[in-house]
Amino acid sequence: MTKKYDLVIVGGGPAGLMAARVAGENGLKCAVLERKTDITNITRIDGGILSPMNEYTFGQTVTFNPEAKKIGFPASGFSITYDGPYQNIYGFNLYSPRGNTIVFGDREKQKTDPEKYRAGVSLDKGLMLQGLLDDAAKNGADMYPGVNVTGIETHGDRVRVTGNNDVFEGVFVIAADGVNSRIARLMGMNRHREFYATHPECAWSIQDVDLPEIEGIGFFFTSYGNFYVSSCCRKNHYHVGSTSFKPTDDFPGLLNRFVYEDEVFSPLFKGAKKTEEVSCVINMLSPMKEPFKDNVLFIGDAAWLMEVTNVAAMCCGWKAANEITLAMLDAKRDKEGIAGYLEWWNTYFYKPYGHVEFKPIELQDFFAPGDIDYLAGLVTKPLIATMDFYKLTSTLGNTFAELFPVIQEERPDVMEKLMSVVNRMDEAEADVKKAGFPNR
Amino acid sequence: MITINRDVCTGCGGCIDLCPVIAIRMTDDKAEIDPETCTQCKICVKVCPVNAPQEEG
Repeated sequence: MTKKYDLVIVGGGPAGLMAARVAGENGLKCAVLERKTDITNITRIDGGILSPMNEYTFGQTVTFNPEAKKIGFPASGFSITYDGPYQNIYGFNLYSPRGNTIVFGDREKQKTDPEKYRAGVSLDKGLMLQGLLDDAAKNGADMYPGVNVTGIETHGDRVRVTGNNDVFEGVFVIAADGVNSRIARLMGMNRHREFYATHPECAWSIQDVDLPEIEGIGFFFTSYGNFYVSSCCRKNHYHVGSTSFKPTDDFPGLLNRFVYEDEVFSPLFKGAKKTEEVSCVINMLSPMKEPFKDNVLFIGDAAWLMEVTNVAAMCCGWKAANEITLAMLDAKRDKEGIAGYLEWWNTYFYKPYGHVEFKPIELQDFFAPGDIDYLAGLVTKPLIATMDFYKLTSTLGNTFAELFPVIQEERPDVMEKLMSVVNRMDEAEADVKKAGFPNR
Repeated sequence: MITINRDVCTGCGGCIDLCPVIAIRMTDDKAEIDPETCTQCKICVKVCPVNAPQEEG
């Protein structure tokens, strides 16, 4: 028996749940299909980071008012409730093999007025999603956890989604099923997207350890691999993870080495209690310029290269559900009806960020550990306070470009390697591509 | 035959997403391989960050 709705939402993450909340508020009958049985149990790596604060990415910024228990999205114009633990975060740290650090965010200055200068907060994402889930359910959305979507097809002027031998029919479908979107794949949306890399991560939740300099995310470039440490929502709680662009790397083994054996960094983790192992795999495809086909609207990560951030995901869900509402009210049940979403996506996502070609190079393939130590040692002052990954990479590029004359003078060998990165980029990209599984 | 060790599987869904023949589904928040659909291409084995898919026999 086909279950009929105005809107079927595939994916119960921040984007999908926000869409369900808004659709319900607007009086649309909607369903959320989610493959997890426990929608708010976060089984994929997520730092729970809410950003950007005090800056803009994708045209959005976020505010957090713990007294009012509200997270605000002033550029879009809505808020959500959050009543749980949080930690302020202030920026990135980049570490060379010997521990030379490039710091983003003048922490001393930032802490004179945390609300004004923080770059974000770390929250309990499961708790945040629970709030959205409760709102959506209260607004009348039907939740279907434990549903694996296996098919999607047009049926007259409707769309039918098949999951667990049930059929869900909607005028519109929102594909909010994340960066490896099943819906995108089933509908052939990936055929014309460039494939860059298969990017796996493995991380541990750790506690009972104090890492005062990590107030955000630290990236560690060792001689044998890349790692990260990110602040969780409780003091003394962190995620420590191993990551690369080679799926066959032994991530738990590498993580073991970093945490327990690394000469420079293992002391950081002395006495740390490991509570959980988590992972994720991200297939990186070029962003969708027009995330729509046959009344299926792709939002958030489902149309992007990697994670757009929790904030952007919620804004996508909010915008998509509102545009679909208007399309239904205007009886424009097609692409013209949701043109407002496509325009918004182009203005704030695709035009400013979508053209950026992703370069999945590993520093260690181009530089010796000592070279990375030298380069990191050149940056002695804190750089801008940001949790915006795009600003991170462009700031680094500009910072080192300005240092070229110094590097040429002091270490012409390193300068030559820097120049050769450009020449060897194509080869490095091809190797990473070959090691991946495009699955288009 | 390839099966998922549910003690090791984190439920991240990477194998589910990348299986070329959609042979893997999420069951009780962990991955489960349908042996009838599986072609033993072993992409799940290669891609899993925590080595949950195990080859038997």
